[in-house]
Amino acid sequence: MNLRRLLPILLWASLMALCTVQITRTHFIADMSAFLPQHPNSDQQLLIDQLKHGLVSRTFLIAITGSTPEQRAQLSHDMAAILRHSGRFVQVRNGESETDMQDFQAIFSHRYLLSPNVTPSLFSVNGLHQAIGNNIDNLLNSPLGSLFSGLFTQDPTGETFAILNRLDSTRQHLHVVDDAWISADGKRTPLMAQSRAEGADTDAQQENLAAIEMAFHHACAVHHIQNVHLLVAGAPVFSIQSRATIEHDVKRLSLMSSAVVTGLLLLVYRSPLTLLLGLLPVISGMLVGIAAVSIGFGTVHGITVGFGTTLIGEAVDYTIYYFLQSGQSGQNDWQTRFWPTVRLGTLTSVCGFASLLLSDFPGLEQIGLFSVAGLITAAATTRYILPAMPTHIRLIDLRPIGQRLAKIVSKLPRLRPFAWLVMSAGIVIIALHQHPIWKDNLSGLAMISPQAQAQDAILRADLGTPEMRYLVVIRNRDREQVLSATERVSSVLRVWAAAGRISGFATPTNFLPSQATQLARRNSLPDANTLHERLALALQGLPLRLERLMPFMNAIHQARHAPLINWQSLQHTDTGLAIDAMLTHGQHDWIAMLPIQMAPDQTFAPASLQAALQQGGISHVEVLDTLQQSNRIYASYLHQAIDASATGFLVICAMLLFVLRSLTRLKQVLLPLGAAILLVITGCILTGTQLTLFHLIGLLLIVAIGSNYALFFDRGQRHSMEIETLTSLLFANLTTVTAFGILSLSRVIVLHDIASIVAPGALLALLFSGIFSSRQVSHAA
Amino acid sequence: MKNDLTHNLAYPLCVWRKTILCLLWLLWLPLFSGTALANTEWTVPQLMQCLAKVKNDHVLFQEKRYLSILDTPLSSSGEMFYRAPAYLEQRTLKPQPQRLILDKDQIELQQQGKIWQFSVNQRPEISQFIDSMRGTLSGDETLLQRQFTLQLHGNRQNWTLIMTPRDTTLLHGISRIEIDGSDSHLSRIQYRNSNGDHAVITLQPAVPLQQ
Repeated sequence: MNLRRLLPILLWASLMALCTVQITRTHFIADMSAFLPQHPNSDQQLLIDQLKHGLVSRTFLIAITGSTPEQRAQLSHDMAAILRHSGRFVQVRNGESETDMQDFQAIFSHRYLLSPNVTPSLFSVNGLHQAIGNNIDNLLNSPLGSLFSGLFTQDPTGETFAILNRLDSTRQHLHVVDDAWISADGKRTPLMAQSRAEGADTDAQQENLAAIEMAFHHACAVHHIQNVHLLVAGAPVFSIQSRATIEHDVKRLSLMSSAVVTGLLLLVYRSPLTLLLGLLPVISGMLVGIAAVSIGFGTVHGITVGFGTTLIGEAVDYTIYYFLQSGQSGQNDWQTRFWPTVRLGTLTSVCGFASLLLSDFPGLEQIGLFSVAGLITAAATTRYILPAMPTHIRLIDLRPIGQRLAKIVSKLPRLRPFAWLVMSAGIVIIALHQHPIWKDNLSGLAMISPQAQAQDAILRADLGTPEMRYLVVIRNRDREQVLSATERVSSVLRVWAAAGRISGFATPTNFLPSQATQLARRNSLPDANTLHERLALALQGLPLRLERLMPFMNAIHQARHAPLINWQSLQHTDTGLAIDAMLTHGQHDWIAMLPIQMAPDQTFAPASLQAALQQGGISHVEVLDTLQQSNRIYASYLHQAIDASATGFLVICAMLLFVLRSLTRLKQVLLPLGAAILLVITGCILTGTQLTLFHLIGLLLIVAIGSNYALFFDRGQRHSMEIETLTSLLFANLTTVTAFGILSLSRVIVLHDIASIVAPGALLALLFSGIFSSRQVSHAA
Repeated sequence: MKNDLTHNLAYPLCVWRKTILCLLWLLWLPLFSGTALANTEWTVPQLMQCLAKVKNDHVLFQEKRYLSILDTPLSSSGEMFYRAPAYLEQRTLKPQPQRLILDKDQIELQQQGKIWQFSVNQRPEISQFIDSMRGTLSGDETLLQRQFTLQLHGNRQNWTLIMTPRDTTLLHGISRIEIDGSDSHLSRIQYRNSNGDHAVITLQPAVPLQQ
């Protein structure tokens, strides 16, 4: 073996070694972050923030089912204790009064800053008389009145309950058994856990999920309780599940398609060494592709790797062409006669995929970069490495098949009228199609099973947690401005809730009123002497003596001098966490997000709320439909990709024209590809499938793979179509269709959509290449 | 009851023997019952058994609540519904309409269009109050014995049950409950709290009886 021959192999081997090292150091991800825009507008940014670290993204909804409510309550308490102790969760709620008491304490001690009733008129003689009289009737004169007499002397005007009342309108009632929540139908014991880790941190969420499961099993073991089951839902579970689905599918399907393709290859390649050599370009392509993405993006998305399996479909073709075509005429001959065609086919594919690099979404860019790097590597490996390898290429005799094939192919052009007919029919169908061909919303793209969604809906209903589809968003540079505006928004929402147009809402100002509001409340508290005088008059006609209300007078005196509640002082408290979920500090401004809660039968028109808010003179406020917003992100994603692909297509045309130097030949190459794409789209319309972004990538792949077929047929017209070329095309097509056929079984929508379009598309591309080729096949070698 | 019993006993016998037996029976019965009342004490288990037989009840109540912080008592009135074993609803009509529902472990207070719900176990004072109520109405002696020491005075027609809590450390807890009754009917309940608050609830059957 001489150096000339050894050098490429050495270079190649060291490149592969480097790539392998890079891949072992690569961080693989499978969350949706790669499919979010890189340069979002402010609304998109808000949505992304919500998806990554919003309250919903961090909330586990848990339920215990089976056994008796009492036993489940025991488990609930144990689980809550373990989870609180674990430090993984900032909040675990299961209905235990302890946490309610903490809330109560916090509210009680700040009642004169928080209560909406605190106004100067409350502290007038008449106001005090009314409020205290009312409170005697309601609070003291109830079966539990004696319990409240201590509270009454400190808060005779009932401010604590006024605050709780207001909170209550936004909080659904949960039933309680043995101090633990229970669902309305009594079948489930729900808990809610809010993780410390961000929603986007799927690894941490997976550990959290495991911790929840462990806590459950531990509690069961301690109490010797069997026949109980654990249900866990919520956004973190969804991201864990979809990641698991991606990982599982990518593994399973890569294995399956590799096995099937290998099996197919073994039918033709008669030695394992030949097979190994045959897989070399594919493997090299994948290694370089993943390594390139890893270097370019820092992380590699699972979907990118899954997409890699589709590359097998094209890269394996190169070796098939090489082995089958060089089998008869020798390597050097192949390099001069066939390589230019393969090279052009590769360039066409590269142009198609490079267009994805133009998109704003890392997920698409990754697929683009992966394909470009992978295809170039696979082609180069075929061209430079395979010939340098020890050649013991042993193939079965394909001549009989080839000859039969040649007969069929020579008859294919007779189908031309029929092909035109079918294509015209396709054009008519597409033209007459009423609905948009492209689906520009996210529905159906979710990787979550319907069962999981149903489970989530049940637990959400049990716990009364909002879905957070609609948010009222208030922005301003100044936090106090945001809080003031939020207070005005809240009063509008309160009217809506009272009218039953929404079922409730949450607002940070329940716990953190604006400083102005707090100040106004504090200023309405009278000084000790004034209060004393007014109280004396106010208590006339009430069965209460002034001395009894000493605690109240002291409380007012203290409240007059107590500091206001501010955002900083609430940090690292439970209340602070609840506020942080609704009040965040963006890059330039403060943002309050008020989730609107809807009853299942309610319909909500964001526009009319927006109008109502504007009528109220509230500026910098927006009613955000997060679903619509994500649909918009996706639509922009899609349109970008369509534009990029169109650009890519033009580049392909220009390049082909430059190389082929003939419009007729260009037409000859593009016609079969166009026909295949046309029919695939028609097929989608006829089966009622709306095209998604991923179908578009599939179309790109049809161009990538089909261009090879078309170019070989084009070459066949200029020279003569050897039967080896023909068999290699058929064989390459067979592996492609098989590999993508298997991939179309995937539950990962991305992979399914791509594959379900490529499999028929590749077959059609080959068929049309045959139909539209004008030369006879030469029977001689 | 007497008639039924007599009739059943006499049924197979001939007329004159029946009459004699009847007379004998009627003669003996007051004597028998009299000795029973005089000799056998009216015990807590008997009372409980008697109370446990009541499956549904509907009474009117009048309550006077003496709170130490107030100079004059507060009065209220309304009706109460009981359904065995663990449902009790107190529907106050005056002075402010409100409803208190005890259902198993759940307390629900409806007041001014608002609903408050909490668990019995949330505060021991509440569970003490609820247990006294629930234990008495359902005739659950073990439940009562767990929280209180029981003393019963009087006879079947006129009894007084006094409950003293075992745990006397609770700040707003009950210090004594006194229930007067006749047979399975409660006529008066008195609560006294450790802080001196007390309440007197008088009960009378609602007419007509309704579900």
